[in-house]
Amino acid sequence: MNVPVLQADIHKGGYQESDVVQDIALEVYPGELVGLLGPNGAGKSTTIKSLLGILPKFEGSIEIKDYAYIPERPIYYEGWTLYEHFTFLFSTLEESFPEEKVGALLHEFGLYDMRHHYPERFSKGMQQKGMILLSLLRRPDVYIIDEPFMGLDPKAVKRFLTMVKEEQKRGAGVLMSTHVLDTAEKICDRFILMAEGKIIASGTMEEIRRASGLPEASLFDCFDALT
Amino acid sequence: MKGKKLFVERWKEEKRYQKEVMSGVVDLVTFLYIIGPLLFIIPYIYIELWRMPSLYWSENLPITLLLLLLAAAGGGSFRFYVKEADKLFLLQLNGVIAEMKRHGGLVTFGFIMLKSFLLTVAALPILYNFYGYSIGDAGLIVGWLSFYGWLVAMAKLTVTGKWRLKFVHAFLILLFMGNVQFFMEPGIFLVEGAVVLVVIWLFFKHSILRTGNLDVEIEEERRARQRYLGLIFQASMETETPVGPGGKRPFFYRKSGRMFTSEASSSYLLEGLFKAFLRRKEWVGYFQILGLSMLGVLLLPLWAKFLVLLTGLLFLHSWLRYIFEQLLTSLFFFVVTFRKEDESLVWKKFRNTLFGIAALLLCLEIGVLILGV
Repeated sequence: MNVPVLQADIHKGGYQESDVVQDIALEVYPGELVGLLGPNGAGKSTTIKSLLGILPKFEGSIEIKDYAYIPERPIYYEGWTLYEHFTFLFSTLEESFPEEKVGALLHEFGLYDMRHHYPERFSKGMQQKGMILLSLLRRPDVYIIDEPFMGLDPKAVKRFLTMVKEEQKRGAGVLMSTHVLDTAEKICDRFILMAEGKIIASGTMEEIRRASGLPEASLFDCFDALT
Repeated sequence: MKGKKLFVERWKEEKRYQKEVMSGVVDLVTFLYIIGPLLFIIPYIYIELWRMPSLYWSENLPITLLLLLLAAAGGGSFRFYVKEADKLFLLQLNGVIAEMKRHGGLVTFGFIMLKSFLLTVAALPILYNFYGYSIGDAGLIVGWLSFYGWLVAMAKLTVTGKWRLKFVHAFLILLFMGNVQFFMEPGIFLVEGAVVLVVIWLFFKHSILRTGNLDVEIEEERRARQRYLGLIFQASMETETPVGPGGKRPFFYRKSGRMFTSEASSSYLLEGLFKAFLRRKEWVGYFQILGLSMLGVLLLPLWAKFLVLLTGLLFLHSWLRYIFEQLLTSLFFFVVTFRKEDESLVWKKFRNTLFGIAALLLCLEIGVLILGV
């Protein structure tokens, strides 16, 4: 394969008082979707924060191309309407604002009528839809996505997965943390399984099955056996 | 646990909470210099109000004003002491919640009556000396004010929509004022009282003793619990009290319109910060600083005018820098990052605009005052 769009070698990462993650080495290549899996408290979100450089304690190296981040909890700028988030996004990309394209996507995700409202007042699912659109419209080299399915309705999940597929075809890499293992098994090219702040297994579905000693098992069963 | 016992436990917990909040505000110095003297002064003022009422009120003032003041100080909220966690633990034990709320309702009734009694006693010297009400009339006024308070408390739990509630509240104020001015008859009082009690009894039976309205009751409980806490925070100099944008849609630039025509990325960032400045009501602080400085310039002697101009502008400059940094401190900028090189340019424009307006106004004021002299 060619040069990774994300390459991380995290020796230690955590907060002031303790290390949460240790010895995490991962790569994401163009067009690849890597699932970051693990039970609650395994260190997935801390790993993502390390990649973003927003962790108070960090030792290691990160090489990352232009990225977009979809946080677990949608984050908006207080005092801006949803539409203003989009206009701001395109100003940072130094591209002219594609009004029709944005309008069509907002329609598709059921957000058009509320485009001039404050997104903080939206339901969790609608906030998440807006966040996904903001990230996907950036068309970066790599996506870092933290629990994207939380609060999304099935239709929005399907549309989101289609858009991710399109981005992969374009050549974007994706690192996605999730607990929805059935979906992860269907869409991810590789998996990184974490527990207690460390990687306990990684690789393709076949490699995960071998590591878990369950040659025919689903990702769900492998996850259960390994964690 | 039975509903009554649970109510008593919650009531005690509430008192402990209020005590903690009060002890955080009233320290020895506050007590010695403010609360203590007030405890002495209030009875003295009340006696004075009976002896020389014209010192405190004028016969030219309409009774409507006094009744409006009474209505503003009256009212109330039902306190049922319900909590979010009750949905998990008590929802299936409907009898316990209902019993707890019944006690809460009764205590609220009593509390509103007591409050109405104290307010009427406080207003009695004016009602007696200026508007010809007798001491005996005070009983009816306590009753009207209590009815008003109960109905306001009920409306807060039953009327949906901010404006509809305001409308109902205004109607209840008019009803109270009309009653006191035109219907001071025991017969009318008894009939109206009976109607109010039936309405409240129906409200209890069909709403309060059921769980269908629990979310509204929890929200109202939270609001009632934090009402005075919010006031304390607003009055405190050391506590940061950010004001978020209100409503679903912005008041300024309702349709997300552009402020500037420039397509440069720095223009969009500057525009975003100005919009946030307007919508998060940061401008209130700006006009407070500017207004105080202008007042100082207006009132103080010439040499002090320049001192106020200098210190006011210096303070405004550091305040603007602080607000600018606050506006840029958002996790959203990890999702959509802006060009770091834009920051200094945007700061200059942000500062120059707001600082420039203030400096211009203050200098103009000084100029006009000097020329006027």
